[in-house]
Amino acid sequence: MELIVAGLSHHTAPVELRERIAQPPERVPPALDRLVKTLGFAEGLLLSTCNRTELYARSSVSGSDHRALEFLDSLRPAGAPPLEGHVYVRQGDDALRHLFRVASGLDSMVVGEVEIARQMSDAYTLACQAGTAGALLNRAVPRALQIGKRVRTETALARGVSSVAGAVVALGERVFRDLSNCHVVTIGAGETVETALRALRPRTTGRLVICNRTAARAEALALKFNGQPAPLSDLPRRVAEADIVIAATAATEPLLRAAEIVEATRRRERPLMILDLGVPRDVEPAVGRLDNVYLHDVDDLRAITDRSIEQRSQEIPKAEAIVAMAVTEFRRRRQQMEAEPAIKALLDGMLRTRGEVLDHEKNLTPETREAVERATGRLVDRLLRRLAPRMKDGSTNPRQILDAFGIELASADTDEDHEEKA
Amino acid sequence: MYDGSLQWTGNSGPARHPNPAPDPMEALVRALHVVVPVLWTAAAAAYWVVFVRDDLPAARWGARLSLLAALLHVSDLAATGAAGLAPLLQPGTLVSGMGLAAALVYLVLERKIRKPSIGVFAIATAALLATVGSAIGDPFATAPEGVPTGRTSLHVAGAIAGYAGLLLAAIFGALLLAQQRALRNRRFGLFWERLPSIELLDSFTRGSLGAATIFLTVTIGLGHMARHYSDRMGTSWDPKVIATNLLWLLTLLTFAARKSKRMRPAVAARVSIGLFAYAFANMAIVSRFSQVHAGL
Repeated sequence: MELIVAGLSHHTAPVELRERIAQPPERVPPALDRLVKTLGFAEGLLLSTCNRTELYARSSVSGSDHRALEFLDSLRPAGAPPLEGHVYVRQGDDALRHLFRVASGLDSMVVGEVEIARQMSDAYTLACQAGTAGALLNRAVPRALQIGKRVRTETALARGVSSVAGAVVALGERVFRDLSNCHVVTIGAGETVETALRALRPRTTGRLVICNRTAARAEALALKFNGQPAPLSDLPRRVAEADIVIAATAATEPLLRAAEIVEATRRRERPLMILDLGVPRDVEPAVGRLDNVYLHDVDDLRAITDRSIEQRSQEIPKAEAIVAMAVTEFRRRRQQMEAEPAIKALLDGMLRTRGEVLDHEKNLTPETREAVERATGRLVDRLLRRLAPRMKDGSTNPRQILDAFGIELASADTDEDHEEKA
Repeated sequence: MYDGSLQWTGNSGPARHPNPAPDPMEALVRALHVVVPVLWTAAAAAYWVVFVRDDLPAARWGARLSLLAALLHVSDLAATGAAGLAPLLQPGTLVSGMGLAAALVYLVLERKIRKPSIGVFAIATAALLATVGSAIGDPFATAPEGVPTGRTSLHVAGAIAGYAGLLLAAIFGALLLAQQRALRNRRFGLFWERLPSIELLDSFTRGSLGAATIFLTVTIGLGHMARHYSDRMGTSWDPKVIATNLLWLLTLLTFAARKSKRMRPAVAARVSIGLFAYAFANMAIVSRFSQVHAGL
């Protein structure tokens, strides 16, 4: 009985394959139901994100790896390329380590990203609702989420910003006390502006104005982000009202010049932050030297993200050490919990045998029987005191000991039930 | 001896405690002189954790430890008074008193602005001043004897609080200029990410200037009243009177200009630093040529 993981991720499969295999939440419960009822797994959880689709299951019989791959293949829609060469299977401690690494963000495309914790938590909730999370997953997955939290708290793996969109927010937070009341003006309505707005807009409730040469694109983006479109001719007036300006157009000449910004900021009290994400630049560099105006270009944003990613990579060994310790501890705890019913069964078996032997001795007086029971009780106690630690630390297999004494482990005392109780 | 005005007369040399036997009040004052800097340092450490890790429990501990340190610091001053010595009138307690005032002004601002991430700078300053204050003088060897009147106590405490407000305005102003310079020079790192925003630093600078203006107004008003009733406190043309009135006027104008948004944050930050330098010079240099506080 051990954890098995089978799946494909950004490490092994291209996005064309990953997006075909990815399962929306509504398809997960029937898939898990099939896993348990048809393929015979005792437990199962399906983690499906844009970067990975992985099955975490409890293997109870041999050949689990083949059946796990069979399950993954069943998720492949008709016409999708075959999975051969793109999938991996891990079992036992390797699977557990993989689970902990995924929950910590160590296996993510952007190392340290925190979204994976929420995705794993959602996947676990789905498994619980489907009734496919049992003794093993009920311990392993919450523990993985705890380890992920610990890694993010005790190391700087999740600190800093790792995307351009995140850098936009980070810069804004260095200028403004509260981003929520900032008015945003964009110059351009392209993909870069949209990416920046995707990060910024959830943080701001202030006015958003999209200034663009093509009215239709401005209107479409304004609709998407609850803003209002405006023509480029309105730009000076709009910039005068803005706190944050995001510029990203294909223009070959600067659209904002220092003289215009001086005029626009003459009467303003709040700082003005301008993010020039266009190449070639849309804002005259001299604007950056103006008082109360903070101009940043795409190189600045890249410098922020590069720095964060470098800092995160330095934290990987610390995070891996935490994961390795957690795997060892988890295994030790499992061995202890698995050994406890065996120890109890061994004790019961020895005492039962003693009772049977003493019952055969008809000539024993009650006093003698009591003395013999006391002495043999101490003997059993001494034997078990030597044996129990070895059974708990895994150096002696509890099952082999029970077999040697011919003792059956009662079904009520199975390790899973014991774990459930624990 | 204290004569009821802002002046102390009599023994100008180091005062000796009249009773050489161990006094419980003296023991209490000496113990508090050790405990108070330790507590301020612990509070600063908690605020450092807040700065580095944005840790909410640490923020709560920082505020609690600061309040406890402030309470014991005030008790220290009260115990000094109860021991028969004038508190805040010898270099050690004056310096640590300024730390206490700076911390109190900051704690009021923090309660108002609700952003503890900047506390490390204010509370560490309080810890530093409290430590230096405890180290540089034995109050029982240097403090003038006698307990001043309520008016004099208010005058001295107001002056310390006013100067502490200017000290905080200078610290926050310097941080604002540093953040601005880092943004212009494209410096991106943990320190700059953790440093509060330019707008928030501006709020703290403005708040500190406001506190300085209020306390200086009170202390100067009390000083003029005391001078009016005493004929031994110099003339209106005393350098200290002129310099302090000018400091008050400049502080008031800067605060008003910033409050009415006629002065840019960076300019106000530079002026705040200049004002504190001026206040320090007024305290350390101009006082030497003044008759107003003669005998203190």
